[in-house]
Order: sequence, then structure tokens, then C-alpha cells
Amino acid sequence: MTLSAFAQSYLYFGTHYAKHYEELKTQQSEAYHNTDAFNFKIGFGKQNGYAIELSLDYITNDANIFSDKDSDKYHFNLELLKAFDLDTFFYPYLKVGFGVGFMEVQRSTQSTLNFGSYNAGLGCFIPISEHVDLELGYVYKSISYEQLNLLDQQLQLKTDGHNSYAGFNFRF
Amino acid sequence: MLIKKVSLFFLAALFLGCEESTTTPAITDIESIKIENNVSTIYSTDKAQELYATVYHTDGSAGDASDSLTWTSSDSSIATFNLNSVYGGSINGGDVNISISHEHFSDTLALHVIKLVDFSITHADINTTGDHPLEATALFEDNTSRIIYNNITWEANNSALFTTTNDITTITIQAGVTELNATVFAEDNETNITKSILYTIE
Repeated sequence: MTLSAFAQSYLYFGTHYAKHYEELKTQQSEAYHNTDAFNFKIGFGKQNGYAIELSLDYITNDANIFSDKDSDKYHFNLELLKAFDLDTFFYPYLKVGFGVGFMEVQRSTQSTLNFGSYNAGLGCFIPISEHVDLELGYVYKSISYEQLNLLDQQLQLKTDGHNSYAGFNFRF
Repeated sequence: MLIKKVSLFFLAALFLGCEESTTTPAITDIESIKIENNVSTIYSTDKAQELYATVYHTDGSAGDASDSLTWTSSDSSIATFNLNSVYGGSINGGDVNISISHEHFSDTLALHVIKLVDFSITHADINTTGDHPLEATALFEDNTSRIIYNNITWEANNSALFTTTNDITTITIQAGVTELNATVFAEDNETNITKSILYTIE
């Protein structure tokens, strides 16, 4: 009864802390980006049904993979989410979407590196009051970076991104 | 604070076995570009000569960048480019600097275009109607003789047809009297030379 009452919310804002792990594997090298990320989002939809979320990931960067000084990353995402009411204390969900982002790099001919991603994830909302819920989740991101021109070859880099997160949503 | 503790506990299990962040660039970068010094001279009427450039990377590797760069000549009337192939311009001989560039990388090489001093029609023994390849040979300032492939114009005093395929010019000659004219460096007033030959085909 309480859950169904909470499920009437449509507009919500959320924030979460995430552990971001990204793997780059090429024929020549392997590289890893293991860091913290923070997400800020606005969503529209039901807590126990469909929702659409627009979010920004701020991904801190202690790695230098593309240059001697890679900056933090900004990653905008648009995701469609389907939550399920299993008559328990939480609402599990699945989500899919895509994203675009950028980072500053100090390469010889590039100062910005753009990227895009396909996202797929799962998680759950745990209502803790009428307007607030706790969220836990995981999202996989297939990330494609802008082509790098090395003159004798064009490098098209793809990475696997793993983002596990926990945070709060505020519903109105 | 609570949320971070909860999330760290939740995430710790998921990230067991994950590697630490890479701190040395894993993706190589461009360090320099260089014109391979395999050509320092060309003849003013030769076929286009392909030039090569190498890119050197920060990881010590190198590769062929000839097709990816912009090639320029300091004087395109003396030597000019088609992609990475250089050939003599409309002026007969001289010295130029050729350059490659990409963003702030560049390299330059001096190129001497050897001047034609005279030429002759060397293969035009035409004695029947039909198609006949034409050939002219140049004498250069270094006393070298070479077949002319560039900066030559063929003309006839009648409606004979000229076709050029793979740098070979062919004339389709008709019965009657044909005066064949070959002109080198038509736009260069200093060199402009025309040679003629007369054919009478029954």
C-alpha cells in the first residue's frame, strides 16, 4: 500500500556515487581506469514502471591513458528504465540508453577527446520515505572514442566501462 | 557519509580483481615527421616521382605517412604535386623547397629540377594510316637524355586525333600530308621549343 503510494511520483532528481572501472585493450597495450564518479540526473516516470533519465557523470581521472595528462571526464546519458513491482520492499529495474562525453587530453594534435557509449544496466529503487528512495545499480558502457590520427594509422579505440553505484532519488 | 560507506561496501565486491589505473600513456602519439631523402633531383619532363614521408611515434615506432600529409612546393611553376608525387611545373627547371605538414609538425627538403636544353622527336616513323605512338627525347643540362612524358604538346596541321594513355601519346593519322609539331614548355618563354616532322601517307 505504502509502496504503491510512493510509486505515483513522476518527476525526480537523483545523485549517486559510483565506482568507475574502464578497460582498454588493443593489440599493443592494455590500460585501466579505476576511479570514482559522481552522477547527477533528472528523471521522469514511475518508480515501479517506465521512466526516462537524463544524467551527467562526472568521472574523476587519475589515469593517463591517452596522453601525459588526461583530464576528468564528463559523460551525458539518456536512458530508458523499466522498474518492476514484485510486491517487496524494493523495485528492481533494467535500463538501456546511450551517452556522449568528452575529456581534455594533451596529445600532439588534440586537446579534446570525444566519446560515445551504449549503456545497459540493472539496479533497484528502495523507497525510504514518501519522496526519497535509495538506489543501487550497475551499468555497463560500451565506449567508443573519437578516432586518433597517427598519420600511418587511424586508431579507433573502444573500451568496456563498468559503473557500480549507490545514491538517492528525490521524487515530487 | 553513510551513502559512501554503503556504496563502497556494495562496490568492493564487484571490483575485486580490478587493475589499478594506468598512469603511463598506453596510446602512442606523433613525435615528428620526416621526408625520406630518396629524391633530391627530378627532370623537368619526367613522369611524376613518388615521394615518401615517415612518422615517428613517442613509443619509438615509425610508419609510412606519405598519403596522410599535405605536400607543397615553394614554387609550383617549377615543381608541383599530385598528392605525394612531384613533377616538373610549367617552367623549365629550377630549385624549390618541398614541404610536408600536419598541424604543427613539418619538414622541408631541397629539390632541384633539372632543366631541358633541347629535344628531338625520336619515335615517329609513321608510314601507314592508323594509330602510332609518339615519342620525344630530351637532352638535359646534365647531359642526360630521357624520354619526355611531361610538358610536351603534340599538334597536327589536320584533323588527326591524339590520345594519351599511361603517359604515352598516340596519333591516329590519316592519308595525305601531315605536319606533326611537338612543343615543350609552351608556357615558358625562355624554353618554348617546337620541333616539326612531315609525313606523306598514300
